[in-house]
Amino acid sequence: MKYDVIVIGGGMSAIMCGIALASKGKNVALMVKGQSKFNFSSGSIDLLGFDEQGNEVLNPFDAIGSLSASHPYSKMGVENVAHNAAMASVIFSGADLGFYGDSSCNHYRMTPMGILRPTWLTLDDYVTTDDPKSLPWRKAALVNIHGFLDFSADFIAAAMARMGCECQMCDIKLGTIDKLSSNPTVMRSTAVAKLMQNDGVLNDLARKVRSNMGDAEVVMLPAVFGLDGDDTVTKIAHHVKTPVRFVSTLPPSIAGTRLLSKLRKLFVKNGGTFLLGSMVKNGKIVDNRVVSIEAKNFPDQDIVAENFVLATGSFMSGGLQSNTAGITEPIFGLDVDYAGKSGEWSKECMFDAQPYMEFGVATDNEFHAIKDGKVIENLYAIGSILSGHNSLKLADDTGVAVMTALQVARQM
Amino acid sequence: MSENNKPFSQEYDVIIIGGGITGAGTARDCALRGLKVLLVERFDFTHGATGRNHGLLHSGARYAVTDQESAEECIGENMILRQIARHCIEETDGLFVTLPEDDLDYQATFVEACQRAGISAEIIDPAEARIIEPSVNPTIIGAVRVPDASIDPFTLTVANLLDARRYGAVTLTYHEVVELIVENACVTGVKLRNNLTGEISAAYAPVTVNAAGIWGTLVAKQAGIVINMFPAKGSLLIFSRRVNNMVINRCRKPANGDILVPDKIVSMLGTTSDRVPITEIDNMRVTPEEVTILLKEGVKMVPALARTRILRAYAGVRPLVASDDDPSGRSISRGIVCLDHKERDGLEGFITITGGKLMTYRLMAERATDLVCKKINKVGACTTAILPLPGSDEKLPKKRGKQHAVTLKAAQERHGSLTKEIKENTIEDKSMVCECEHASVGEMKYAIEKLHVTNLTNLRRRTRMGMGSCQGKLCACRAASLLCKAGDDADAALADLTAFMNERWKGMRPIAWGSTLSEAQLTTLIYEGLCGLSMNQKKT
Repeated sequence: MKYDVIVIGGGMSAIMCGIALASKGKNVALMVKGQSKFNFSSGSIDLLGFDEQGNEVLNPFDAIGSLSASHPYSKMGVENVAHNAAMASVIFSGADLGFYGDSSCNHYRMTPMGILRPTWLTLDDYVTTDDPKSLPWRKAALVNIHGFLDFSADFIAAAMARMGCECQMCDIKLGTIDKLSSNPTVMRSTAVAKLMQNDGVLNDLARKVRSNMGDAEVVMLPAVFGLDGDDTVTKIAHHVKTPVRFVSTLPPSIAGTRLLSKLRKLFVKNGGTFLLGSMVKNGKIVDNRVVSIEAKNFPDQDIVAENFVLATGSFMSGGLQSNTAGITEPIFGLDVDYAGKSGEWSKECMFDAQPYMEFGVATDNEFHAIKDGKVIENLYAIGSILSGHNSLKLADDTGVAVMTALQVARQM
Repeated sequence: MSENNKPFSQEYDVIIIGGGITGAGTARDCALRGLKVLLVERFDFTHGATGRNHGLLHSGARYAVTDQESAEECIGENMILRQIARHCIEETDGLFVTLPEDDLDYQATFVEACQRAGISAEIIDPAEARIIEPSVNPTIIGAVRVPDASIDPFTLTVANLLDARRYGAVTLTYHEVVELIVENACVTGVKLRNNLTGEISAAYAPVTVNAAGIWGTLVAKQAGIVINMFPAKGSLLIFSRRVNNMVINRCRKPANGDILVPDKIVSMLGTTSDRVPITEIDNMRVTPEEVTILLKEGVKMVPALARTRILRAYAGVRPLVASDDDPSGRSISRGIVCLDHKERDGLEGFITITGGKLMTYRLMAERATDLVCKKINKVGACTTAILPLPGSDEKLPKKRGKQHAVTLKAAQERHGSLTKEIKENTIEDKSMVCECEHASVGEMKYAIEKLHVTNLTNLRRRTRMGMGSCQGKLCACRAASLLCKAGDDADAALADLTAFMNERWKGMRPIAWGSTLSEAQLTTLIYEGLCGLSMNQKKT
């Protein structure tokens, strides 16, 4: 098997890198292990929500210049971040993803707990606001589907009331959901989203929403629409006959499914190849170049490419591994930036900046990976596997994924 | 929260300090004998050592060689609890295994001591032991089968409290004794602070029972009484799946990391034993060294532990009564200490019940209640050894009605026949809040209404929500919504949620490497990243 570029990973950075490379005419394959962080998507893409002092960022470009040198944005420079942001917008339109937002001015997304968080782009049918003190509506109908626990309507309503928006709570009982709930484990977003694909159920929901919503200006629904394409999104908006906005639910994220499926389509349209179920075991490095890699699902085959991109994520995705002896990158054995013994990797309070969040593989400023202190010329690392920033504290996880993916693709 | 902390009158026959198993058991015994009872707990029921132990229904075998008195008490209570607290117990039986590095001669001494204490101890072929308990190290050279079992201390405590309430007791959580009221060398009552509101009140009774475990030494100090306690910290590890089906012990003198207890869907490995300063008992942390010792010893008994994710590490403090200068406390008797402070210190109306262990709580309660009755000239025989606890007092219904089989089975393991109080009539009530522990909305609602629940930690202790392999990853959000719906202010409920997750994290931190670190990162991603929660929740 031979490709121009092999991207190892299936999350945001991998797919964006794949799309950019494929659209340049590269013969590119994505080796995807299984699920990715799209499952935990908020429906937004964050560029930089907070600076390193914890202050909220209004204009990401103003703040990027002050980030420490280890931050991936600092490595590529603010001009490249701007260039890549523009390039990302083109890709998103090409994927038929409608976003609200602007890279020079953050807006706020609403979290499943009703909290506002600064972000760059949000799916344009999700609840957003430019002003953290108020919402664009005075009266909203807040709908939940009876028995669906992964949507915290009470928290959202309390938050909205604080922002001057009165909520009409609609706990809608769907007759057809009885069957689903006869097994108590399946009342999860994916199952409910599947149910919405049944026209009868969707019409029933829309009818009950209309009769319960009073004079609301907007109908807010749990984000359980858009599982396979925009079909259910369009239908619910059409049937409710009032503007519809979604609020993300607890995982698995249907927003993530929407994003991923559209990006995948674009990747394939551009000529990219998916190698699903790929368990990459190791890579052969000769003279500071990756010659080939081996994968469990392609036994006895050397997988060869000009360039390799490592987008396997952080600890939770298996891109980094740890034990009491230290932290390693399991495929190539790359150099990992980390410090101290396992007891020093974390802090006492869960919500403090955790040192382990900044651990990741070491790279040069062009995101070439490093092994035993030597730059690997044709191996790049992108996304959450990178060291040098705390993606939770800065709210820049998806941004770093997109920016480093496009930066690396442009360099090839 | 209809039955929580309702207003209470001021005059009682007895005031019991401490909402652990000893206090709960004493409240039940006193109430059953017709006394007017007030029980006060400064935080939540089972907050102390009751909620931080192995959940082991000892046969007594562990103490047979070194502490015959405790061994005899254990086997006696073991047999009683199997009758009165059926729903809190899983009859697993236990093995005492001899590893190649251990002295096989000890086995004979051990079996002889067990028999002397009245504990059935049957030597079995190591090959048979491997068949009945496949997780055990295949190289064992000896095995003895004993009547150990697994017991749920949370359920057991709640059952005792429910029965005490059934017989008129008033039980208060978050009420701390800030002063023992002493008049003419007699404790006549207590001054209480409501730890949720700060409100101060007083209650009076001719007798006050100090059943505050290791904290009892601090309670007694309020009346100028010195009880020389030996705070012995015991650390444990919880593994993310049920590795073993029988309790597995090392057949040697009690030492570190030599008991592995199956507890419903997980396994618990313990313990260590180290003296800690009394000033630190509110702040127990498991150290990396303790984790290393436990793992090293645990893996010898059950090799699969090396490949099993550790869910969390936690520590409790044994309320041992100091007798010599044994540095670890291992050789101090686990025997019961019931102090009449009139005789000991010249202070009337005050009793301390301490020492002992979870296993012997009922006997401790009996001795304390006997003394209370004697002091107030009340005649009444103890019936706690024969009267089944609520949950074990009725047969489980044959038909399951509207409940789902999975949540019903789990609820019955936690609440026994009281499961009938759980309503699962609507779709929402049937929905599962905690998928690890199979706890439904109906069960949460029952706990919120009937079992003194004001926050997520209370709810966890009553329903095991958030205790399973996901450690609250999604169920805590769902449960927080339910508390919010039940009337909690949304901001307070969110602050409670962050505090709850932070508390879960504290148990993960000593073992935050490998898959535990990966899980912790995912949890933080959901709570901080996706949901946007932070420690200063109230400000937003």
